[in-house]
Amino acid sequence: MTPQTLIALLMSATLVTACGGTSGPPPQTYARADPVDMSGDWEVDHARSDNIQQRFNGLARQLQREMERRARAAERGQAIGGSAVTSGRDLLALAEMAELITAPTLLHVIQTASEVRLKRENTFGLVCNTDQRPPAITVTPVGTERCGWDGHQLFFDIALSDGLQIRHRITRSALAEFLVIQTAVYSPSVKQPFVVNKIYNRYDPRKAGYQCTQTLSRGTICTTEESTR
Amino acid sequence: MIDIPSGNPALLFALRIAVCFVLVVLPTLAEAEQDAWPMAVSHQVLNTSGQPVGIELAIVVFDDGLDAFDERDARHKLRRVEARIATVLLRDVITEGQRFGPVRVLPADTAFAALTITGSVVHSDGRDMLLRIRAIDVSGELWFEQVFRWTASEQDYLRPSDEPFRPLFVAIANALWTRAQTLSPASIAQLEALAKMRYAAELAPQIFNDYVQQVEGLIRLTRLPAVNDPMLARIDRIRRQEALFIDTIDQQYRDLQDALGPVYTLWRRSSLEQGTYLASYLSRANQRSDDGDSGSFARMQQAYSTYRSVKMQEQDLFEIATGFDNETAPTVLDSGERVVRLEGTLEQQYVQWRDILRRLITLERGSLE
Repeated sequence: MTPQTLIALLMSATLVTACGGTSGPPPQTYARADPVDMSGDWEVDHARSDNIQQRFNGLARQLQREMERRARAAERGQAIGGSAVTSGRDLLALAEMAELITAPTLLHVIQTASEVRLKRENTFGLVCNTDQRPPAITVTPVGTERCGWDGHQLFFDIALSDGLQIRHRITRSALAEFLVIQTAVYSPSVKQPFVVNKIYNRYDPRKAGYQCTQTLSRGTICTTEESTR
Repeated sequence: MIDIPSGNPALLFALRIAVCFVLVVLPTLAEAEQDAWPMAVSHQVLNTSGQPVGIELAIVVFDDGLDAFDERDARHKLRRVEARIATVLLRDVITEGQRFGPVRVLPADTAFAALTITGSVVHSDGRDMLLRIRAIDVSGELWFEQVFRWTASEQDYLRPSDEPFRPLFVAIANALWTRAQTLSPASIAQLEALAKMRYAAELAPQIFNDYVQQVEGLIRLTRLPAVNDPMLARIDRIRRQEALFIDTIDQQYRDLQDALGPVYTLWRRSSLEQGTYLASYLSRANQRSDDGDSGSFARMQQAYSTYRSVKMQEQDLFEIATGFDNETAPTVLDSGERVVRLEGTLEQQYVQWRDILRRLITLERGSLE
């Protein structure tokens, strides 16, 4: 599968999701688990990943056109059905959240038959126990996480308080040279999720010449020695 | 088109129930559990009054208090680490009081010392620590079984060199000492002799079972072997070897505590701060009605940051706990005739060592016969 095909497929999925007409992700059924090996180190490919500003601009233009259409209809004395238009402020808030959530540029994936541990730079890792029928559910006082394999895709659905929901879908290319993480962010005040696709290429952290580790007691520790992880 | 969701009533209802469960029911359950907790112990000075008694104390590494240990659960891993650290902390406080004889940490519950302390971690979150402590002497008499609790404040964490939960361990040490002071010198001598014979009976039941007897639920000495009994001399020697083993692995516990202590305290402190923040966050979220501000960046960012912080905390802790497991080193011991290398967890090493001692006794018994 070429990168373009994979991205096109994900974009189609995005549109389907976006046209679903709910503020949260639609109910899920999962395909039979068909795990693929995602282990290794990955760095974001900015050139092939979505640009959040452009995506926001596109949605904002849509929003603008919709408002103009409604204004013209109102001048003609016509009423337009459907629900109210999302405010630009809410859309901007959602875009900012999406930017925050998809900020990590480096990933380190450790995978076993029973667990996938996707460590992300400067934020929490996405960890899934995959030896049970999906979704594996983790409940904390501040949010609920569902994860598992859906066919060859790994998914993480996170529902937080105040209606914020995050859905990550991780797909590896057939030749294992890149990962695609599609992140859909849902807010209670915007009907459509804000979707960001990020491409991560495989890389060798040892070639950077140094290794950094986040520690509790000493903050970030960097060494020029090779990693043993 | 982008507009306000009209909503799927069933989905919205389910979502409300889920949110209600997370924000209202879970905290309520936690509160119900806390209601059953005993009062925190009072601030006490370590009691060092009275004449010391020389009896040996064994503190068995505390139980993690979990129904089912999950290797992949960071909280479970940490709980196991906490159980070990709490055991060593209690040993240190009792030793500091200098009221008892040698105080050793044992990887498993065996009849080694005159007084054995077992315990389990009931709860620990950086703010509250509850330990269920059971002190039982070698005759089987229960000294006490009690849940001790201390609630730490941010003040307790001000000086990094101080153990924030020290009052908890001081209270346990004082309770032990208060009970020990009621023993007469004759009872102490009886307990020491019984400890020696029960140890012998555990390792060589065929020879020493007749020396002890269970009477009305308690174990009593029936007689003592002759002072010059060669088998007893060998048991004494083997008991000293067991003490050597315990002291060797004790050093491993100490090393691990030295390595982990500062990070563990830091983790507990940040847990306390996070717990305080989380309580206030959940309280605010609970009180918040739908004020039309739910999609604002500030509200969403707060929800995400809170979740991120909780998850990062948990994952940091997983790394620490995993590191602790990885640091358990093999123990190399000279048993007199040969050098023995023991591998695995300290608990497994202890079982291996006792097995070696048991075989030694069988061999030596054969040579005597």
